[in-house]
Amino acid sequence: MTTLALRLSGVQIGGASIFWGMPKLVGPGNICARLSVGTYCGFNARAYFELEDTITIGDHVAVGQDVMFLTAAYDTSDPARRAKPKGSAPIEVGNGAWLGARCTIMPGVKIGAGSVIGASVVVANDVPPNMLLMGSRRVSIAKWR
Amino acid sequence: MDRDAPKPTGWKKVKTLLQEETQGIHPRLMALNAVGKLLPGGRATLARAQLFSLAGFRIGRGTRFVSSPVINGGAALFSNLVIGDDCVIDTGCVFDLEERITLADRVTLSPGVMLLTSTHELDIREHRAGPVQLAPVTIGEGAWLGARCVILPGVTIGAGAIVNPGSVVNKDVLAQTRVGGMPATQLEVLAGPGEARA
Repeated sequence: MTTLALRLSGVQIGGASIFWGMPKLVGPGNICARLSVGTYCGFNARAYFELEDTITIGDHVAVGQDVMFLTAAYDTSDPARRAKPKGSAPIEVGNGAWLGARCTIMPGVKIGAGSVIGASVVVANDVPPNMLLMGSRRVSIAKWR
Repeated sequence: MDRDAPKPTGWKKVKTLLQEETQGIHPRLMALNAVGKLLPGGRATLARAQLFSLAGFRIGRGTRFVSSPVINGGAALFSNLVIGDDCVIDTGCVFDLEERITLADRVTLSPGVMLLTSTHELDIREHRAGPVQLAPVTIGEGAWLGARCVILPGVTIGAGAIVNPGSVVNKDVLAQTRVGGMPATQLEVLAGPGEARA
């Protein structure tokens, strides 16, 4: 039902993708048009999409509870105001990726196909395909089938 | 969801779709959340715990809730949460009740603690989150879980253990130890009951 409501409001969602619980979509203007989701994705409760820029999710992606996608970038060079808005950057999540509960995806990040992000990880840099991130550790799981 | 299963058609499709859409509806849970909104927040109260036992959860005496935790789970949701006596559950906790979550006596959950009981098998590269795997979570007597920590499925936390704020616990924690980090590692051995404080 949630997925249907999102589709009706203009979010591009591929076949067999499911949202368990309504995600939060925030941002200026036509936010629904900036989110696109592929086929066979699963989103657990309370996903949060900050749609200052486009967020593109591939096929077969699984997203855990409380995952945040942030696209608003900030300039921190001014000591009088550290959080100065500095445009936005898009997020891309590759096919087959799995994002664990409570992880945060920062602006401009590209997550490669088949990567796994552990619970509570903050992803600030691009992730190559087939990597496992847990805490501050990075392990390649390319050999895993 | 089984990707390889043949897609149902016609009446069967309508039936499975209806089943999928309605299995997440728990009238008792909805009533519980609605009444819970009327109760005062900001203070640990016995009244909210009473409300939870009324709804069908097994909750011990003297347990207090500051606000209603977020609860999700399948059909067996009400029998899957067991809370002992004199526990304190702070704001914004998440109980994933696909499997059994057991809190022993005198357990304290700080704000935003997440107890998870469902995960996935690591699958092929085209679809990393494979079939769903369930495992129970058990918290021992007198343990204290710091703010915003995440307890992953299958973890048992020993009696008198302390989990530092923000840590992610992916394996069992021994009794009377302090753990922290991502993934959580042992930082300190604490004095047990009857032992002198080091």
